Amino acid sequence: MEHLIAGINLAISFESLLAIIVGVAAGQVLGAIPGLTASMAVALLIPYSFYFDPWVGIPMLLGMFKGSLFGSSTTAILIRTPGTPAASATVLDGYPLAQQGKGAKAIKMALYASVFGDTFSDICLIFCASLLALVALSFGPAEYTILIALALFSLGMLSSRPAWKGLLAMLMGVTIGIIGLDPITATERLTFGNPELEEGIGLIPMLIGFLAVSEVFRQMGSSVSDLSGRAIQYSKRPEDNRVSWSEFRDCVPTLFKASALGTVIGAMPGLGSTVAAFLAYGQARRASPHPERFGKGELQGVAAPEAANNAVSGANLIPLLAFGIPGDIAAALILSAFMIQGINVGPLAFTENPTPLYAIYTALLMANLVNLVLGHGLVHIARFAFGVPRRLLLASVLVVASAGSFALRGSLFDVQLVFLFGALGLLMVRFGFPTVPLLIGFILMPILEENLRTVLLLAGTYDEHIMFVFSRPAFSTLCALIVVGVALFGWRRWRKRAITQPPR
Amino acid sequence: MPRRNSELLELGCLLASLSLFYFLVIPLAVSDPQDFGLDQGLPPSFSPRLVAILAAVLMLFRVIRLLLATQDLSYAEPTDEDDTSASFSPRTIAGMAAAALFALVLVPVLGFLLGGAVLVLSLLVIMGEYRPTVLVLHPLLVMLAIWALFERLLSVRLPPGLLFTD
Repeated sequence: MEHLIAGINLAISFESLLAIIVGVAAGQVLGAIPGLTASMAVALLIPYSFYFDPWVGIPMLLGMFKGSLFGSSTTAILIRTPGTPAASATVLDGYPLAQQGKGAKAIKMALYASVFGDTFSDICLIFCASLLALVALSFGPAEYTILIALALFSLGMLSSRPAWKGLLAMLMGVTIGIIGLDPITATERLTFGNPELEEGIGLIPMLIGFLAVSEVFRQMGSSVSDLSGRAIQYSKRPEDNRVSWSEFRDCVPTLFKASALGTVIGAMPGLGSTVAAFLAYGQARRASPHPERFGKGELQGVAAPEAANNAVSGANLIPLLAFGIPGDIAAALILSAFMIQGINVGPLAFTENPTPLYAIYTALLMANLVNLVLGHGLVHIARFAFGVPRRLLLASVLVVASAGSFALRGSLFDVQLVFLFGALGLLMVRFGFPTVPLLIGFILMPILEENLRTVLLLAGTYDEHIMFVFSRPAFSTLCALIVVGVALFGWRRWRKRAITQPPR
Repeated sequence: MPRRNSELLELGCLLASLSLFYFLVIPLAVSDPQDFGLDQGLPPSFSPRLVAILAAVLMLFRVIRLLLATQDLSYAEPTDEDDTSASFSPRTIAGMAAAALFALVLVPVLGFLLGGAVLVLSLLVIMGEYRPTVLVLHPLLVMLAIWALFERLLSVRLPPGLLFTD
């Protein structure tokens, strides 16, 4: 008990609170800049955090991590430019809402969902870190392969009508993901001798190009009077600028499901918040009684990806705090900051000196509260910043987007790719091909290929060959769950068709 | 043209491109190491070939479905309309050309900051902005903000350009 009180005291000191406020505010601003990921924001702060006391530096770092995830959704909603890849799925319904004058409502929903997802995963982290980490670690290449293949197939199927266009777009994304060096033999694949392509295509140019630049190109075709009007119109009706209690209540089941999904994905090393956001979006769409509203400005389409991508941030710390294993780059950066500040994590920390762990938990929860308060301020700043004439904003977005895509790898080639993907994105939209499955295919391709090839390599060492996967309890459970899910989905569709079809 | 015919035409073009990809691009751009068997893992061309086969199966399945359909499928199944607002208008094409010029010539030669200012200026003109104060001040302010943020705060060195490199 004394460890708990000591930990709380460490995190709620004046200096720590101030550090959290500064971290969250800086994170929200940096996260809104296209190309700067949450990991980059954390990496930028780490050198400065060493100058401070550990309980100033660490809370600031955690605050920045959380702030950057929400900040990125602001630009995703208002100008279709996700600040970080994690906010890409928020574009799908956030941007249509902004176009309907409901930008403030969408940002507020994103804020509430972010804080909800964050708090949910933090509570899971506090109460069941070890259990969740054990479940996550029982997932091997076979389980990852089937999970990712299913995610790709279902997201491709549901993202367009007719479904083949979504599936083909997904396969195109997978093909773009193949470009680069083969992960096993290091042979060049589809690079055509271009050394810039050896590293593969960067995620940031893909996201910015297909989402933001294609939209800028599309809007440039508007009439001159439209272009001289305000970039973001806000409805004058108060109900369009706030989230009512009934709207929030309607989103609560989605928030719980998305947060749980984000927590599970966050606990698994390697998948990350972008994947969680897209999966939660797909899940919310499938579960909704009105799936046709998704993509046209559905509030649940903002709530689901935001809750999921923020839930990942807390859950990323589960394997880190429970076993000392970082689940992704951001967690690895936080681990390095812990190590340099002399804070031990892992199983022994829970028994030997749990005070710093309780202080981290308290700082995480405080950061959520600060995120909620400062986020409201950001809504007003965004209203002012994006209230300029549309043509001024479009021209600026194009240059800022190219600077953001250059920043990550320092490659001029990435700037050229941004515009190429922008033109490709416009072409795809023109012919009714959705761009989102392409992005998901691209994001998941390396993880899928690595795991699939590992499974096939492992299969050679077993007598049962590929059937060895069924001897794994996690794989068998997952297969059973998928079969039940597919059967339920088929039954629901059959019933819907039976009801809507007129009698012969 | 009925939707079925236009979709068949689209599928025909895509299948032709896919054949080119499978029979020409993959053998040219992916070379498998000699004697690379299953024991060493799958050959590098496995993934692109698998993707191409899946895409072909998907499209052939759709073609058969369209050919066997007794009526135009647009009546039988809901379809997302093509976004006609995503057209290649003269202004859009001019904007794309300016962006291409920026990425291929202006940044390598003039550098990011100067090239960016030229791009913003040209985009403003393309979009119908002719007020001299806006045309001068807006590019300057945007590039100043980018310089302060990326070069000063984040220590990202933006390309200086051939003209300004020692």
